[in-house]
Amino acid sequence: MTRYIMRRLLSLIPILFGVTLIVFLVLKFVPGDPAQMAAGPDATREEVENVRRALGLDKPLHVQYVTFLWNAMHGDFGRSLRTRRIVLEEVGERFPYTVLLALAATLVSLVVGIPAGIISAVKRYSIWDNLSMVGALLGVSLPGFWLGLMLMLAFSVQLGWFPTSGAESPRHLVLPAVTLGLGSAAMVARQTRSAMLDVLNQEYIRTARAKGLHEQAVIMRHGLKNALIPVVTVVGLQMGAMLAGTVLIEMVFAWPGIGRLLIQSIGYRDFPMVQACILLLATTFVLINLAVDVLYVYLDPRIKYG
Amino acid sequence: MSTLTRGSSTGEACAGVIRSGGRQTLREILRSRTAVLGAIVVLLFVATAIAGPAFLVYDPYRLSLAERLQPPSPIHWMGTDEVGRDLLTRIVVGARVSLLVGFSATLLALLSGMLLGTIAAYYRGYVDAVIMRCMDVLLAFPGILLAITIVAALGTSLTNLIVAVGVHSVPVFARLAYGCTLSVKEYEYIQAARTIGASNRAILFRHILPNIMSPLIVQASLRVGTVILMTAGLGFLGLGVQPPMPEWGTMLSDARSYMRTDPHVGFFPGLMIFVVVLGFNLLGDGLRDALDPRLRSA
Repeated sequence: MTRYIMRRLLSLIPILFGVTLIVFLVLKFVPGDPAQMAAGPDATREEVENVRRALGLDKPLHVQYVTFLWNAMHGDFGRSLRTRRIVLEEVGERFPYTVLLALAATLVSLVVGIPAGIISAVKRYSIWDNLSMVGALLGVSLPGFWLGLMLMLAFSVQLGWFPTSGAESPRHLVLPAVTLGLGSAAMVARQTRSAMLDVLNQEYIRTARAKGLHEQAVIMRHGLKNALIPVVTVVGLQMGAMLAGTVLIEMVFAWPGIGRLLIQSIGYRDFPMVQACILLLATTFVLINLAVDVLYVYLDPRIKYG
Repeated sequence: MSTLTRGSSTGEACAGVIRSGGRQTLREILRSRTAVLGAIVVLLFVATAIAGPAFLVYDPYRLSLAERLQPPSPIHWMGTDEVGRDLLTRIVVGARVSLLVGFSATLLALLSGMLLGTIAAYYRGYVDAVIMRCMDVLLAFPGILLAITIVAALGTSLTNLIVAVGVHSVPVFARLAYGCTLSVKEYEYIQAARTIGASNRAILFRHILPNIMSPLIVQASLRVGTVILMTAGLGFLGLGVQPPMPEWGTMLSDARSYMRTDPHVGFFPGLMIFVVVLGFNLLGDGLRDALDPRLRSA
């Protein structure tokens, strides 16, 4: 197991290397002079040249990349062009909000998706099955940012149950988490249904029923327990995907996470901040996927460590 | 999920799809209620995008402050926006933009992904390692993030939008084409073609590509919905098509300030995104169910 984890960790190196290269190169295409942007619009020619030298922008591209990579590995992305604060500090303040939102949305997706999937599988082809699966199809097709606005209109503006924006209290978290979680719940419901259908056809389920076990015990103790393995994978992958989904939802609800910081920074052409946000989101996504792979192997002993 | 798991699953999916073909396939598709319903929705939107503007009474760009924020009425079926433009007119013209980006970006991704995946699986070795590791790197950007990165660098224009959203989908097609090519290239007719001296190019283009097309087309039909959703998302973030060109995501974003008092301004563009994405998802799901014998037997 340890060897498997080490090998998977090593396989991440070229991927993360590629991600840093893309982030570095893509932002080199941006029109305009980064030294001029860093120095400010009123800077003299000499001041701009000084900034260019200080930032190493006068060096060849490959040297700039190696410096960027080295600094990124040490968490040094420089200072924000907008606020002049250290980038890592600002990103560090915002990141917990994004993690909190993604975790709360995952909880919503589990609470909604797993029962819907179980009911669909157990009452196959019933009205409940059809309703759950239609709901799942609607869930994957709904634009989250539109759903968020509609939920805000209904529950904040009309009913006044939840605040429209901000992150001052747990009540602020409800609507963003529900919006983000419902799309993911659709995937969880589909996966739970298909995994439960596979499991419910197994011999040991028939044996459990033949022993005279209560149907609820058969489903929950023998069925769900074994069906959960592929569901865990989907939930993990969904959680990673939610990191990107937060970008849109944070904009709808003015949630002060890293996604909103990213879009604001693009608007202000604050590229050190943009680079840090993108790298952090992509790295977290890759690490979550690694964790899901490891967890999957751990949960299902039939899978070899190959 | 590991590369191995993904590869094998796509391989299995291919084996299933490749067996179906011709008239039998069409019958299966028409028998699938989901596919037919999805196809009807998609065709309605395509017809609206192509022919709709010819029937429009209002100019999608004409401002009329006297008529701003009017609710739906017999004169303006979906009401008017914050500068008095007819919403229905802008939604019909917006369908053109959404479908244009949706189809172009998917086609771009399909062609590039298909070529890259097929070449990697056919030649293996270094070519395989380089191409597929590049695809892994692209997959390391979750969801809309890669498209945001590309638009942030290239700037906002229709072409850049198509490139950004298209590049995001390339690895999906590359992985599928890779898995399919790996299984197809072991078939006897490929060995036979090689034995009679067919060139690599002939084998790739004449024998392998035509045989891996059906799963790729199914994937493409599913992907158009995702691409349209992503395009609208970028529009909503202010990184998509720029005003005054009507695009559903941008219209929804513009409507945010007026949603409290005039919810119709944001309701209709969002509804259109939802219905068209649902249509493509239904069509894709139906096609997959109809073409995959394993799912059919289940």
